[in-house]
Amino acid sequence: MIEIEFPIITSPPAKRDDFLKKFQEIALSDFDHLIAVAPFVDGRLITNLLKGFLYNTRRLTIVTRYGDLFPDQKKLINETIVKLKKAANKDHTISKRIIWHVNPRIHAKFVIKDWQCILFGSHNFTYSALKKNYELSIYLEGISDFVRDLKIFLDDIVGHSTKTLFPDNSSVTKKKR
Amino acid sequence: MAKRTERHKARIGTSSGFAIHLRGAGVDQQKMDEIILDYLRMESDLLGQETRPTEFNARMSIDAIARGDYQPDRTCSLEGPSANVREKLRYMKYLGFIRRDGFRTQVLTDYVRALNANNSVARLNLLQHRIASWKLRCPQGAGRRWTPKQNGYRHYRVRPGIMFLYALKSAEDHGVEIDTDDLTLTALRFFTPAQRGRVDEEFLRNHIDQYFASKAERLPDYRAEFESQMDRVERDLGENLRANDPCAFARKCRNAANDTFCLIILMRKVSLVEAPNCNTAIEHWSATQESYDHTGKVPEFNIVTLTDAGRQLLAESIELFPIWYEDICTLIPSQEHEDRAEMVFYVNKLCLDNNIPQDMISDDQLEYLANLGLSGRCETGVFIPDRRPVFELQYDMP
Repeated sequence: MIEIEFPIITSPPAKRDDFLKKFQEIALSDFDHLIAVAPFVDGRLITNLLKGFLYNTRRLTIVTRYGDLFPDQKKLINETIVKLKKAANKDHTISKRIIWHVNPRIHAKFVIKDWQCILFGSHNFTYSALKKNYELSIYLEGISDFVRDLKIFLDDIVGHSTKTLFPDNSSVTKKKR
Repeated sequence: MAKRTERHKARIGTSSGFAIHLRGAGVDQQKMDEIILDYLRMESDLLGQETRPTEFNARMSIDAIARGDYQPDRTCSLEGPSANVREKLRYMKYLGFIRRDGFRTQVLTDYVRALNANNSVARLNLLQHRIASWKLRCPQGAGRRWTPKQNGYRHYRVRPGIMFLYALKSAEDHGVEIDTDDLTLTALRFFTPAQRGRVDEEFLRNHIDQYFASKAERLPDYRAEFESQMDRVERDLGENLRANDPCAFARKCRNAANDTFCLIILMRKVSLVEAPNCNTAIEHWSATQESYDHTGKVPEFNIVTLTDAGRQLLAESIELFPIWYEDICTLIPSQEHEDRAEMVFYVNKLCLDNNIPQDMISDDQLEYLANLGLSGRCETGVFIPDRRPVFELQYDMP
């Protein structure tokens, strides 16, 4: 039985940021595995999302673009990666639980919680998309019938990723001389 | 070095000097719950800026001023309006709701869930178990920063909540009544590192038993006991800077009594103790009756007793063996961080499961565990410790 929540709207004139609220609700709920896929992400959003992943057994898979981001976005993401590395010094399981892939051809935007719920639509995970743009998305619960296809899709995305920003990352932390 | 001195000077007057600093325990629970909810709301904002402690302080101060709660001259009552931001933060930190690095703890999530569901039983249970696993860490730097030895609590290895309950039980066993002064001089007493390399639970339990055994024979000379605690200030830089202060003794007595008073309030709120009488007409000399300048006297709970819940919690927790992350750090150098991580994993596993399959653990690691104090026996391929440890990854690791 699928439960649908629709429409999930971001509209500045109507002062609606439903997607952000839904995402926050998901981040605060109980789960084992969260998958967040979007071409563009806000470094601060990922930093805040990671607050719930230290010293527990939760897993997080992130897939984003990296090469064609704006410099300020790239900077925020690099800062997030540095924070993750610091956290990995304290909690050694983090590098096994959190994986951040880079796929330059990614265009889909979705969040999957425990392969049970999916939040997807036109929203990127950026400040603009979550607050300033006009965007539309949908939230579905009870997606077990579609899990097989979704898993194949995610495997394709991950399988064709060009690198991982975390844990195995060489480009970000190397200091330029 | 100059920087350290400045930091040291800045702390003058913030420590009670006598006993363990637990004033945060006295804050109003209902307001605290609102603050905890606010805090989670603030922290769960995915686009929110990183909240530094100073920002959090500032935001809470603005709230307090807006509500009209802020009182520059605090009254003797620490409940309600006069509880300030620092105490609330410390309360949240002690109970494991928040961490310095801002990561969200499971305790906070569980507590807020119980609050939102209006489940008072779950909420109370959680608070009680937090108090049972509450371990004393240096309040001035969370165990990591430099802290002057004379003024810090690094040498303490006790669970103050459990020691508090033990003092009540010990007094009961010796057939004596226990009041705020007794608690200040037993479970919450200050020991210098010189008195013992490490003040652990066994040491404190012996002290508590001896104290009540002697109280059963005759009433202690409270003033002399409190004065003897003042000896330690000779080597205390912060105190020496204040050497000309004529109110030093009164202030220290009052602060120590205040800390104990606040802990009694917290314990009473979570139904671990009963303290029905708040007495201001005290027969013997009492630290609660010392006052200075414009500060009032601290009300004294003159008879504190254990409830059934408190008795049960004490029985469950007293035999557990508390281990600090710092103990593991002392044992294993930082270069061998993988060994450290493994040891943390094993201690945590012992804490949750009470045993480790023998094929999972090497003899060297068993030796490490024994050095930590976790000796045990191997039965049918499983290592079982003599005493189960108290260790929580989220709370213990700084």
